[in-house]
Amino acid sequence: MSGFEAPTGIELDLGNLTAFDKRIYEGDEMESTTQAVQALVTAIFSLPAENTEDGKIVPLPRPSFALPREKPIPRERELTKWEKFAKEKGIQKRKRDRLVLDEATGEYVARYGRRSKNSVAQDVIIPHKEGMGDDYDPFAEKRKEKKQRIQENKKKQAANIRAGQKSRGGNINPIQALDVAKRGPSGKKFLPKRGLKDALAVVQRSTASAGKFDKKVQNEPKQVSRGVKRKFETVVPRAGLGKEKERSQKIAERVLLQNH
Amino acid sequence: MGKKYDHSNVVSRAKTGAGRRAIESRTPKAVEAPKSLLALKGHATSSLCNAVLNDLCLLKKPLCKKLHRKNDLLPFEAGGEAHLENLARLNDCSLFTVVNHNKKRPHNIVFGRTFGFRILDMLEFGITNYKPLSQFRGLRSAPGSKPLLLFNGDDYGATETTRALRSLFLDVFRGGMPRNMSTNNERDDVVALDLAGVDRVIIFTLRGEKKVLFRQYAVELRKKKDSRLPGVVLKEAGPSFDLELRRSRLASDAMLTEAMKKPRDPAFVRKVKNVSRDNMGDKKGRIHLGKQDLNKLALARMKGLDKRHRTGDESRSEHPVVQGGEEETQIGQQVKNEQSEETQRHTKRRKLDTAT
Repeated sequence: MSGFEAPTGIELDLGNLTAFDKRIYEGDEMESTTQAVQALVTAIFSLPAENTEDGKIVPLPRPSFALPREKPIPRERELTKWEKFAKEKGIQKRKRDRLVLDEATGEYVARYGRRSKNSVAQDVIIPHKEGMGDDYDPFAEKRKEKKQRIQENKKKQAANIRAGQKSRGGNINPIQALDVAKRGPSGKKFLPKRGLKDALAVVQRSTASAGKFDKKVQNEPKQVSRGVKRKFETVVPRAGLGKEKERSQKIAERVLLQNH
Repeated sequence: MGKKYDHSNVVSRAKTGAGRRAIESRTPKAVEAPKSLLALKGHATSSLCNAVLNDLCLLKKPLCKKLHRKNDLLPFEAGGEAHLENLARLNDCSLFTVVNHNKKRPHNIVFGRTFGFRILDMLEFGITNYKPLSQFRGLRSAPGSKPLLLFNGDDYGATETTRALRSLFLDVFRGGMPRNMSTNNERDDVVALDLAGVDRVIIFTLRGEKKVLFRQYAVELRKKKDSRLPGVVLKEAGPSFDLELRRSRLASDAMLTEAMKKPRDPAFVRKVKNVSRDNMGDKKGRIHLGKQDLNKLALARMKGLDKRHRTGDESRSEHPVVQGGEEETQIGQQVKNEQSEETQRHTKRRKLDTAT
């Protein structure tokens, strides 16, 4: 750091190349402005400089005036299921050669991907399985199996991502909750419980008739009534004056007892 | 009926390397690149507004992105921020300025910033007394040169609005290396300064609580005879205008707290206590066991002290009188159990000690 001290009333933040002049001006404004800029420039030029090919360069200290970030601090990625398992077992990643020897031909072929050792296209002859009938196509079977494996893997990837989001306590908007519905491994739809009831209640009331004439979905839960309806006593009771008399009696008793 | 493809299990990924890099550059980072300014026109603007916007872009270059179409934007109206936030997200800019012009608020300019592409705070001003950059001669700074900033006035700390104003202008106009040119991974601010690049200063003078004078001056450095430090001469370089504060939306406490959080310093390592290595490279640990309770020592039991083996009648044994203090009279089955547990724990610890 430089030994330069700014005049009183001027604060410097060299990390931001900024001066805060808090003095109250009397007289020539331009003069005091120049003073403040002079203080800033002097402080910068007093910092230890490095001579480089491009000229003199000054490493600046960290800024003292704190400013907000533009995006939240990233959290560490949640480990995938495999990564957790590998960590537990102490399994380490190892680099494997891209090429492997194909013993059938004696040539080196790719381990995976196009024209790899295990690719379907690489197979010229596959022995027919006994008891599978004449229309059994082992090539088609192999292609199908590969597709299934890919699908399975994608499911696992999605599950890992979802697990990561869940552990972060993802924010669920009650309306968006309906869109988040995913198919579980069993093919059944499962919905995030949080916010779902609220979302449904909102949606059920969201038509012109407030849901009264809507087509109901199978097993749709009954519309939850929110709030209490006001109830009024009839002005002229149908069954005599009995009830009204009772009410008045009650009030009278309470008042009289209090006054006692 | 064809089978519908289930998109729910598909992991979305960039298809090209460029796409992957674009996504990567936009994901939040612990140490952020400098903020970029998004310059926008509202649905109706004046030529004055447009000129100010152009000048601001020239000052801010290359950390600036100007959109040339008009946008139906009213950031202060209810629901008006959604479109703005979307534009900020699409262009990956967290600072924005919008100009518009109407009868109620002529020559209007809004400065604001976002956090996580949600509006953090914004301030609206009316522009008066404008002198364009083109009117002045003398300042020819290289694009991306870092300006000095000066905040004039003792009232900046007075109210929440003026504090926000200072923070916002500092955020918008401070220099920094553009995202794609930034080489350091540790600092987002101006890390190193080329002394030859000290050529301009932007000055924000606060008048009262509602008026800010925006001025830019060219800084001429003169050699002094008696010192190796240069003297300063200021020459007005433009643009210059006065800003009259109109509406403001300040940051909510919760959002600001989140935005002001500092990431954990990667260089910080928690001090490991009580673990050392000896000359053979073996790990040694020091364990603090606390003070030992001598009354609960698991000693060899003495028959003489056991009440069953005490001579005399049974009734005396209910109130045994034993030398050596009150505590020892309480020896019973429960205490014995505790003792044995305690000893087990001790031996376990000792085993651990030798194992490490």
